[in-house]
Amino acid sequence: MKNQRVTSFLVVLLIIVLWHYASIFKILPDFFPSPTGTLKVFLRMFLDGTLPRHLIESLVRLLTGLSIACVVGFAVGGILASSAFLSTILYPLLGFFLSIPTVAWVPLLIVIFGLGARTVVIAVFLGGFFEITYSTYQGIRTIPQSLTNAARTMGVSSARLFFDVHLPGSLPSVLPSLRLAAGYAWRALVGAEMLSSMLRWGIGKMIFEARYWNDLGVMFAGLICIWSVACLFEKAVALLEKRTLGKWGIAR
Amino acid sequence: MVRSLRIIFSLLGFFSLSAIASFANPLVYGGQYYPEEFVLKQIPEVWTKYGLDVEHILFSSGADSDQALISGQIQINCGSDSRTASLLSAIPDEGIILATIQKGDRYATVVSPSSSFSDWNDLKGQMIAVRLGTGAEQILRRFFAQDPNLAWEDFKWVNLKIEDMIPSLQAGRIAAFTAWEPTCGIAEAQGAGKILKTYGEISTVPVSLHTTRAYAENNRDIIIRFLAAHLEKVALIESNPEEAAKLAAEYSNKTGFTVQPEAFISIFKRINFSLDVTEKDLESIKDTAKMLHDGGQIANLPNIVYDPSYLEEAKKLYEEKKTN
Amino acid sequence: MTQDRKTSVKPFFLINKKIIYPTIFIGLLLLLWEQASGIGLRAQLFPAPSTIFRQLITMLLPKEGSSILLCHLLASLRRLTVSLIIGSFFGIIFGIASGLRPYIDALTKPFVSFFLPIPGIALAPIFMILFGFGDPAIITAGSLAAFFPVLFNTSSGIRTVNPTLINAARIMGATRWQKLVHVYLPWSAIHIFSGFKLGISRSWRTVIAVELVAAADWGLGYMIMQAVEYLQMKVVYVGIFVMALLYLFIEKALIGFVERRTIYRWGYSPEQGVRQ
Repeated sequence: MKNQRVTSFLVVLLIIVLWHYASIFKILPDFFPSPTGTLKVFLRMFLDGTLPRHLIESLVRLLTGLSIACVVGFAVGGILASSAFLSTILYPLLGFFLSIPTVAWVPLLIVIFGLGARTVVIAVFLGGFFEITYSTYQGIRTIPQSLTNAARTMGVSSARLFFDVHLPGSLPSVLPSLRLAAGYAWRALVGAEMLSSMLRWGIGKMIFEARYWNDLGVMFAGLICIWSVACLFEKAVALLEKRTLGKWGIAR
Repeated sequence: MVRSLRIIFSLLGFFSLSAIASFANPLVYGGQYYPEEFVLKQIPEVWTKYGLDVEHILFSSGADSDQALISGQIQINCGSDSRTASLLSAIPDEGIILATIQKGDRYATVVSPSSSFSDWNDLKGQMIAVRLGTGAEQILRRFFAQDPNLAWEDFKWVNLKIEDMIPSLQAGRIAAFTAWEPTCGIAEAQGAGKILKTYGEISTVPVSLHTTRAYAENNRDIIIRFLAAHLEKVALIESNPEEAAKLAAEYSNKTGFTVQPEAFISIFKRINFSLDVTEKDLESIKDTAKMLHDGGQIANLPNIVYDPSYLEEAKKLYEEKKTN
Repeated sequence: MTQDRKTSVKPFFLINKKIIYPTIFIGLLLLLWEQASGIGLRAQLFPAPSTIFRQLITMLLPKEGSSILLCHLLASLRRLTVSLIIGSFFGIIFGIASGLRPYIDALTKPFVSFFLPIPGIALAPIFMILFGFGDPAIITAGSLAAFFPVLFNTSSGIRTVNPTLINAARIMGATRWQKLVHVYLPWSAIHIFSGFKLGISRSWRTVIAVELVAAADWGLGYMIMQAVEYLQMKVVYVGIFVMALLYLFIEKALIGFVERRTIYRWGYSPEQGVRQ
């Protein structure tokens, strides 16, 4: 494990060094930023407060959209799982919507909801919602009937059944898909921000503007930000998985 | 375990609840990425001077701002002659022109600084970028129409978005692009391009302020004050273009970009920012509408409606404020 | 026994409850939509299903020799196909290498972890600069999107091949090549296939997303963006609808078909697939 980490680190270092020399020796076109140039831009934007502002706005939109997607997704997934009739008529629709690339929704959302932050949040919501609904539905369906029966014989109400049996029971299926959903949501965020011409702040918007002002250093800084946030998200979901599934000993 | 789940759920619920829609502002104005708009963003005191509460949003795409106007998200927007024609065609009998904000020498063709192209004849057979459906396309077609040596088919066209123009030129993927300011000025200031030709003599190609008839009739006073605020901006640009250039550059710095005032100075000296709508302007818009209609890009020929009363009263208001 | 086999591989167009009810429901929804739209200013932005359908037919029928819709569609499909070929090819090669040799795995991991989290649409501007707008940028992004799932799944498939089988082959005197072809590949085929399925899904999403930003002539994404530019909302709806249909067709019909002919035939049961 440790060996792998060291190798990974060394490889990254090698790439940076190669990049540095490529820009010095003009192998790369001269408007292409160098590692030091990118670092300078990154620091400048960080210090004058613009980068944190972009990041925070994007993250707020992401978290808002994802939270709503989780809550609504769990609810809808649960409802679908409990009613055979509803699942028969809605399941194909779910499949249909799942296959639409999230970014393709954005032009339509812009038409319906306008061009501001609201649309970005809704795009994020859609990105996560279908996936979470689907996996909640699947997850609840795979809970052994014996568990549900046991709970019912103990006399739990429907609500408690949902929260204390179905929800935790579906987690082995939901948590891995949460990673996927977070990925879709993040993509939806960046895509929607790039296409929403009414925004001023946001990482996606920042990268888009970098094209307009022809400031490649900022573009790179933005990409590094996106990468960092995505990594952090992955780690967070992995941690969540460990704390819940790992602790409960449910094998994946 | 269950307790932590409950906590997580409440947190999620809290986040969801905090996503309540914001309150609507009295006046949402959809601008575009134009140099005088950047200046306006930097002088919000003109709004308060006239007692206005304006949310000034800059759209990177004129089409998006039209959409926002139609759907009611914004109340006033701006756009070039192509946009005016498309908008008025899309909402017949609803759209009206209030004033112009820019006209004159606002389009340019930019080539790489190291290239040896000196005019359009040199560019024959090369790949040229232009944003189809915008005033840039119209101005080129007009230009070719009056030059017997040049035809649209002599060149290889690619429909790039405005923000891709400079990077593509720098990367050598295109030989030239034709766009509106400030993109050309930015390219020159960065050393990424040099202006081959400007088109001031072809047409006035005005950029106009539009609104819906419904809004205009119910908010006459607000519109007059709005236009008066714009007059303040014009006065600043005409009297002190260097200061205007500085302000415009400052605006982009605010979101984290380094743009120098040099990119804007020649623009502020070259282009006419007057609000007056002349007969020539209206003719120009009608001409563009016809071109778009013939080309099949708009469904019906629009009625170009301009109501001069708003601007007249705005001028009176502006003069009054000046003497006070 | 054969009875079970048949029911677990149900053909798509079987008349049963699962088809009739949803169709009725969707039909009702469409009727509602038809009634509700066409009112006022927003009729522009919310065209009725009938308008959208008519627009679909208009764009489908050939005008001056070619159908506009098909041109855009084929452009997107072309980019998808090329991306899949490039992505899977390199994915399988690197996957086999990583699976067989752990140090290669360690070397590729940093590349993978750098590119994986970045949405294709964010990489689009850089690719446009490096490789050129249009096909080069789109296909690069699409290939990367297909590459990763294939890489992961191939590599884990190779690693989970039963060591007993490998030893058995070695004892029988198999060469490295024979081991690869006769032991490793067949037993990891199912993993490679799930990776490929994921790759198609990722690649399709990325191609469309990048087309929205980087295409300058043809493609479904480009068609949608241009429609927005000219305020032709019905074209936008047509685009989204076609996109979803296309993907469903590719996934359910095409892949299902190939799956049934190959993997099921060889006796492997359908798996959930390796989720990332």
